[in-house]
Amino acid sequence: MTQKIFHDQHVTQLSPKTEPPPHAQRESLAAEIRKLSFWYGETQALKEITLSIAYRKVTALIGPSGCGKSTLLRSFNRMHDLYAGNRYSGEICLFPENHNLIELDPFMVRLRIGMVFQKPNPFPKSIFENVAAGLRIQGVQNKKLLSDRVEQALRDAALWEEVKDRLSQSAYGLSGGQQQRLCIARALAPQPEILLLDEPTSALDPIATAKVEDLITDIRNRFTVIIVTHNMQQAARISDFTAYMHLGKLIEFAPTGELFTTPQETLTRDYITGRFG
Amino acid sequence: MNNRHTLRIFDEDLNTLRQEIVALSNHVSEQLHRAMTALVENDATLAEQVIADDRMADTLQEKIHTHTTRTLARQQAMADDLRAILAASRIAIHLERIGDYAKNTAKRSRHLSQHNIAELIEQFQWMGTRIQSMLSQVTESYIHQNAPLANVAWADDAELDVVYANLFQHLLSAMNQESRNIEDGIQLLFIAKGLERAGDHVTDIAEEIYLMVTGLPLQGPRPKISELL
Repeated sequence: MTQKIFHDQHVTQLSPKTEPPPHAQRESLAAEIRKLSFWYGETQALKEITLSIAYRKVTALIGPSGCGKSTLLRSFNRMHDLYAGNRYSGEICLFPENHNLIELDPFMVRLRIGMVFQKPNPFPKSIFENVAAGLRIQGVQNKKLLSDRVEQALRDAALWEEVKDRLSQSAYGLSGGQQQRLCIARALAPQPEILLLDEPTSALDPIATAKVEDLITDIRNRFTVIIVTHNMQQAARISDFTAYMHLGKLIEFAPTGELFTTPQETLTRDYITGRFG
Repeated sequence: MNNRHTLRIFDEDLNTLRQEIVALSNHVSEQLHRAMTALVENDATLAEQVIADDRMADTLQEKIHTHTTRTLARQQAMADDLRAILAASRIAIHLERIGDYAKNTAKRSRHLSQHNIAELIEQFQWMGTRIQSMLSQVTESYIHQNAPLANVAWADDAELDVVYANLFQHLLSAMNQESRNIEDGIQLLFIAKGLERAGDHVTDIAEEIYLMVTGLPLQGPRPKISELL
């Protein structure tokens, strides 16, 4: 497995590959996955993944179906805990506290980590209430503050201009692309430390996809984003770092520009050039 | 390493590009060979043919340009595929320029009124043969994805520079000694400079191939002309 980690703005080779980075480098990290394995019952889906997530950068997870990328993403907000028989070993450490989120209360984890899914899933509520939902769970009651945070989240999701005059209307009245941006606004409103995007544009048309990609580019300096995508051009366009996974293993991790132009591993090269399978 | 794409048409696009590059390289090499023959044997008819045949090099280069653009537009090329497409586009430009220098040699050979500086012809022949040899090496390295062979061609250019420097001095001396040598001397100077530039284009092609194969720029010490003189 080839892996590179972050040292301020520079990228250096990590050796040995499974060791955590030196303490001095953690300031540039939002999280670090250490020897993470995961089982759906008896089936092992992740095999000792070690990966650094850069702070306020976009990290893309790519790989063929069944490689474990969505499983890895969902580990971040403890979604697997909803089903019996699933189990983890290893750590996902959130910085700066260096807390292993596998051991934290899932409810507290989800307050810190937002997630957007493949298909838009707005609540059967108004546009405003959809975005305000996470803030209300956080205990925000001040109307002015609530209103300001909802507006900011809708602006971050590039949706404000389209919905500002109909905030009280049902979210179901929005188009598919608008609903997905609403879901992103809903995830951004509580100011998550990490935003997880699980194939967020796979159900959208090219124009709606472009709008979502644009907003990810706009928020990349303020939020740490991890995105799972089957669209390699999308990963190449919007991410700073890319991890290639295969059969539950991390095969290669590098700055996106390097991984897509000069991959170091044959498996990565075969996949990104379309020679896979 | 799997060398076949899941999408077969992508393999076809890349194979077509490869074949067109090899065809252009072979055409240009032949063009250069015949231009040097026209020069050495003072064969105006052959020179005219070389000049006319340059259109074929232009056509091939335009075809490669069209195919690279089309391939980029319809394939989502990554990694070595992307480098191969970009390299094909740039290599074609260098090959076409080498063809231009061959044509230029043929053109100027028609104006050589006398060969009273015949002792230099051998050096011109040597330059032509060396460029052809370098072209052959880079074409082989392109076909077989052989980066070390590209490196050999890259390094070979240094000797070409030495011969050009010698020719330059000789031609200058000949023109200084006899004013009737000036007309031929100037034509030969341009031919020598053209051949030296053709060698530079082959080294550029070698660099493109090295980058295409390895993903790394071709760097390192290449003998300087001052070290070889």
